[in-house]
Amino acid sequence: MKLEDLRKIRERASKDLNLRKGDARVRIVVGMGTSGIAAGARDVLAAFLDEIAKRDLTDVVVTQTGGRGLASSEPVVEIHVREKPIVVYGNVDRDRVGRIITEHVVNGQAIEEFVIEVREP
Amino acid sequence: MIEELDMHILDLVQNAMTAKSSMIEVTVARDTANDILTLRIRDDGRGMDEQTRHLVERGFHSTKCPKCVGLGIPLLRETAEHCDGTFSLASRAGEGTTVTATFRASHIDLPPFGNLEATFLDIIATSGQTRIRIEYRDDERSFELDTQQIREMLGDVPLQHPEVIRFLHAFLADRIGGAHEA
Repeated sequence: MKLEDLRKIRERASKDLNLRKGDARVRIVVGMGTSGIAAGARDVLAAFLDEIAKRDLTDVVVTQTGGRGLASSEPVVEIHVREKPIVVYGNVDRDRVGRIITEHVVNGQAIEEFVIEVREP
Repeated sequence: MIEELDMHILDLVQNAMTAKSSMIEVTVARDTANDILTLRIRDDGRGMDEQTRHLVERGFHSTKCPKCVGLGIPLLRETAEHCDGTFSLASRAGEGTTVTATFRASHIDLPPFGNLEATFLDIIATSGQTRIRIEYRDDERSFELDTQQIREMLGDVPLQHPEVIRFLHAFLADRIGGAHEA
């Protein structure tokens, strides 16, 4: 397995019509402050990346921030869907990541029981 | 609070991102012959003056967020010193910061790497415009990964394209799969 294999991916992916231009449809922000990391944010972020890979989602990006602390509900994740209010989920784990992707990111239905905050973009 | 060594790596990289670094170098080196494990995170971000550096080392100082408690660095220092190692935080305002922690590799209380592959994947995939260089060495394996090199090969294809994530997964598993036991 060589890093040069990435060139082949480039050739294939460049032809892909779904290759996103500009902003993604959904942005997922994982809180990676010290308390978020201690509570499991590493595996939550990795789980979102796994889901993107597994489901071939080309219109979703995952970013991280250290700048939000809600220590009692870590790991905390924000879902930014274009032109929709920002939904903040708390106590996210691998299982919840799967549900958030299926129900919210793909099907557009926020999961009320995990929501800790909703705010305007 | 932080029970795994790779969580410290993530924490320090997050600090370096917050410091607006354009380049972050992450080194993990295990030298069994000399019984030393070294973690080093070096960045070219905004750095700290001497007074701020003291505050950070003492703890309860953070500029990351209003509710952040600023314990990442003191906890790492405590772990390193408890494991017969050393800790250093070198920084200059405007030039960057280097954090180096060493541990006696065989120390009974040395925390494990919880999931080093996930840690590196997280760092690379969310690096944005920041260049990340990762260097990993142990007795049998070594590898280097540089996001600038990856980006050159990918052109316009994003780092989080599903195929790229699958590739990085496989690449990291191939290079350091099973390197979780500290």
